[in-house]
Amino acid sequence: MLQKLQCRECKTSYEPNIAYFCEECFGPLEAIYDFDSIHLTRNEINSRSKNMWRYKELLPLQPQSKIIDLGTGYTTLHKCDNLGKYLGIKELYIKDDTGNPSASFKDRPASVAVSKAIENKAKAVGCVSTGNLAAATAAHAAKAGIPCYIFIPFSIELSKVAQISAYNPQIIKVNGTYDDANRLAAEASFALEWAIVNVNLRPYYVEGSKTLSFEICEQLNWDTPDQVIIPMASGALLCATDRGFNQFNKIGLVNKSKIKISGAQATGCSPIADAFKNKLDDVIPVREPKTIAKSLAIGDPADGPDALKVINNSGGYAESVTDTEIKNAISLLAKTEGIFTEPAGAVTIASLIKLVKAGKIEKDEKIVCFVTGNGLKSPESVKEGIHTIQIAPNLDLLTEKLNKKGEVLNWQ
Amino acid sequence: MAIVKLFSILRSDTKGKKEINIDANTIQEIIDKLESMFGPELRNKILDKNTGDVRRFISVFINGVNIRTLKGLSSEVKDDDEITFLPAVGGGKY
Repeated sequence: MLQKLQCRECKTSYEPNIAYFCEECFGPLEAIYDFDSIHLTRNEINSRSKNMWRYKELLPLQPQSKIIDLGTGYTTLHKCDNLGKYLGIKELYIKDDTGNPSASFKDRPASVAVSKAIENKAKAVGCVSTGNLAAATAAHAAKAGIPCYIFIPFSIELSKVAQISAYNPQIIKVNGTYDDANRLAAEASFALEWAIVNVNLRPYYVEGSKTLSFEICEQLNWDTPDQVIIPMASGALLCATDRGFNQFNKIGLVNKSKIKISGAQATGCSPIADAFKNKLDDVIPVREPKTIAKSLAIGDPADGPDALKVINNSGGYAESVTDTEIKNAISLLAKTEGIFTEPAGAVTIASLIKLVKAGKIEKDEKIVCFVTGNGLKSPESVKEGIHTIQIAPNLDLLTEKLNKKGEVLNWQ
Repeated sequence: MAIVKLFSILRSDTKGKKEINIDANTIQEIIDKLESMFGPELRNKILDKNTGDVRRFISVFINGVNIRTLKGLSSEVKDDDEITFLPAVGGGKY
């Protein structure tokens, strides 16, 4: 169970309240667990409901606290034989988080953070978001019955704004980038004492995403993959994934062998991948991100330096892909595996393709790619690929048109 | 004069003042003037004593633009510019 918050840099300890930086050195705070008190077995986990809270001992709530849960987690791990065959990989899996309640992986951190806000009797919650976290936070705030304030950059997709609006939060559209909205949200967290899930609840928020690792291990029959490929915006998901594998290993639920943790970004906003390729220790911010993968358009990634460290220490890679490669990957994934992803999810598939071509993927590696958001959230990214036949309701016209296209007409 | 805004922890070194008007041409000059006004504690909190640069976990913005994307401590400051000091969100250098 959760023991305390601790500064990642100077190790000063704090009570697990709403806080995110060390008062001594301003370093980030992180959740520390008393692992000796955690006696979680595979059988115990198996007996619980199939959602992310089946691992509650490894999540940062007090045991008696109310959990705000919409049924998030335990999403499908697809074995992708069609795409695997196309790429020449024997064992390829997609961790498909499009099936979460608000249709992205962000329901995981939002469920933890909003529950923590309620535990701390916060008067209002909020977040800064490129869209997916906004929907997830607003949905959980609605369930909790607490006011919600959402900061978004003005340029995010209409379909995402429509979804967020339905949960009835106060949406604050900021004339600027995600980074501008984030700075404003940070100032508001001080001035207005709101519990902003990815600012002053960040030590708890980042913990929710590690349930992806727990589920992958469980769904691989308590084994670990050889490599995971993860989309990177702030880098928090990649760091949480690594932490999740390490924690399952620490409490003896898996025997973790070496796992390569690889990250994927769009070339229009690839500060972490650029730092990796240029062998830098530091991440240089991108001032004006330009990519169709808007949920990855964070120019100044909060966990960028840590994500870089995880990738390098694990022997993984960081790759970046163009908008054209992203669009092609959306189509490839949909037509080979029946999974419709938003651009961020396709960034991992496009990066996988590049890594295979570069000879950086062994054919017999067990690979897991994360697909983190549903394609219905950004339909405009596939509008160029829409092909239809329009005809009057007449069978002769139908067969004539299909004959012209060379389609197979007789299936018998 | 630039308008300098400080977050809560730093205000303990500015006698509670959260906004201070300072006449300066660069961020470095602003920090020098803050030191001459309030003593060395504030400077030590903002700057890394080894590198002399802004500490990894503090962000400085000029009108909302992080000075890391400009010229760092040498970034130019003009009259009426708003200078904001904030703790970094996440792993730093934010």
